[in-house]
Amino acid sequence: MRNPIKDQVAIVGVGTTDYVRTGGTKSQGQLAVDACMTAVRDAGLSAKDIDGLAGATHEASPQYVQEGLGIPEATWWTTTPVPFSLLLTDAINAVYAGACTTALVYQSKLRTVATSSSASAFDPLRSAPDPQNLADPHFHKQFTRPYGGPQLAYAGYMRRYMYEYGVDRQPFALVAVNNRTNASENPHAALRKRITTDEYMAARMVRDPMCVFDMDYIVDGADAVVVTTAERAIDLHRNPVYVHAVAYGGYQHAENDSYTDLETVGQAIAARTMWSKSDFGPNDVDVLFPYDGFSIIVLRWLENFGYCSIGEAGSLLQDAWIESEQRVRLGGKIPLNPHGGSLSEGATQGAGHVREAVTQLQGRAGARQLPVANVALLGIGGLFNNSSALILRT
Amino acid sequence: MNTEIAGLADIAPDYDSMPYWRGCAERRLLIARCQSCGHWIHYPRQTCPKCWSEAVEVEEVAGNGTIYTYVVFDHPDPYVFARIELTECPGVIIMAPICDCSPSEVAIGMAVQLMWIDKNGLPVPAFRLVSGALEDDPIVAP
Repeated sequence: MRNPIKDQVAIVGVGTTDYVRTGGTKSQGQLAVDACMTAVRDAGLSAKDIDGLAGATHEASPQYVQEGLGIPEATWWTTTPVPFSLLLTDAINAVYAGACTTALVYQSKLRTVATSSSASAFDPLRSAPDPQNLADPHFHKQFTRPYGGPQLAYAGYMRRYMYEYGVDRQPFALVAVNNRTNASENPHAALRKRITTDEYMAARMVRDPMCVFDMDYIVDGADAVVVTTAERAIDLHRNPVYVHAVAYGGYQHAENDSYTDLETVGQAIAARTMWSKSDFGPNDVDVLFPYDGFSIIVLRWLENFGYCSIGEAGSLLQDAWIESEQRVRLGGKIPLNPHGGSLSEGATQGAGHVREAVTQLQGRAGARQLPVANVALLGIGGLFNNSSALILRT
Repeated sequence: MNTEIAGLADIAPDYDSMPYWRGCAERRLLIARCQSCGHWIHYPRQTCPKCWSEAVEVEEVAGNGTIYTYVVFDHPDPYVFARIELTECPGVIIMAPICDCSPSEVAIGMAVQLMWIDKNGLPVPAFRLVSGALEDDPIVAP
């Protein structure tokens, strides 16, 4: 597929806030502003250099952030549903098309009962109900509302996956342990205490067959990146990280529980389309970021990206498991989510994955820095209606 | 639009779905079907996604199906919520609880049969396992 944006837009700065579970006192908007200030400074820029903003729907509006940063003039902005890669892609396209020159892309999460049922115990202000937005991709909510709104979604998909391919919970345990081991080396991670596969097997079931370690860890926290033209990026002080290829995947039956079979999902379309645009292949990748809002998504990214056959991710993970390190290295080399991912660093819809990819490619990941990091492959989003794949390169 | 049907206001129905919910109120499972090409359409819509015909009407179905997948929720008490494939309507799935059984009895591929449970005065679909379903069992709603 044609790919005119290839290497034409670059990420030139990143910023983040602390990721905190309890005790946070920053508004969702202020978290965004904090991350954006850090990202703009990181790029060696100032407010007047920013003329585009992209934020997530229902988080902090571009107007709130523009005012908070004192950005005098903007020529483009948008809000887009999560995950972060979709906001990032909007900004990439806007910069490439000339709608703006330098855009801020930010994601800001505040823990509430909508995503974390225990949130109201820590602060009653967080007990606002989940807005029932019929405009969102989960447009069939009314049919499960009489039962209290349960979604099988990833837990139901996980059970069917185990049934069809004859796998047990071991591959899911490896994903969880890998991410926690990596997070233990990431000072930014919200969960850094190592876990074992035995602890995984004994963990509390939340939505059987899904246990607490299969689900992302909700935090307060924000991230931001600055994107600009490749031409302008060369003049800035960070090594540019170029956007090489990006693709979304949307299937006709894209609601969480509407897939017609396990293999026909948006993620497969995103992966296939992204590869068709890329000069790189799976074996050219130095670091892999399969989004892990739920552990099952990681297994499917490995399969859909072509690291193994469909249904074989469990065997792949077992073969790539380094027992002494308690983590995965594909082919003895490629790490998975070296920052710990949403399962352990904290749940920010892939924003952490993008930040870590940029950090690794710029060679400033500290103790976690990979010896060679020139090509990062990211699969961001879930299986059904919000899947996207991208390649970042030096 | 729906004040005449008990229990419906909180569900936020729309013009696409009202025939379905009216059927529920009468304990009839009504599934939309294209009268031009025969394609079953669920969740309901007012045009056919397959042939774009506007001739879409609901048809009553018996509600025999099989369990495609399910999840055991633990709140407030353990219950099974399942994706059911309706035998008589290819491509149609119903999301509903499996009642009158313990979670350990349930497995993918099991045959199930429609039953109705009450939610705020509105009958809504649920299913029971075909084997071991006893007519005299009390209905245990999740």
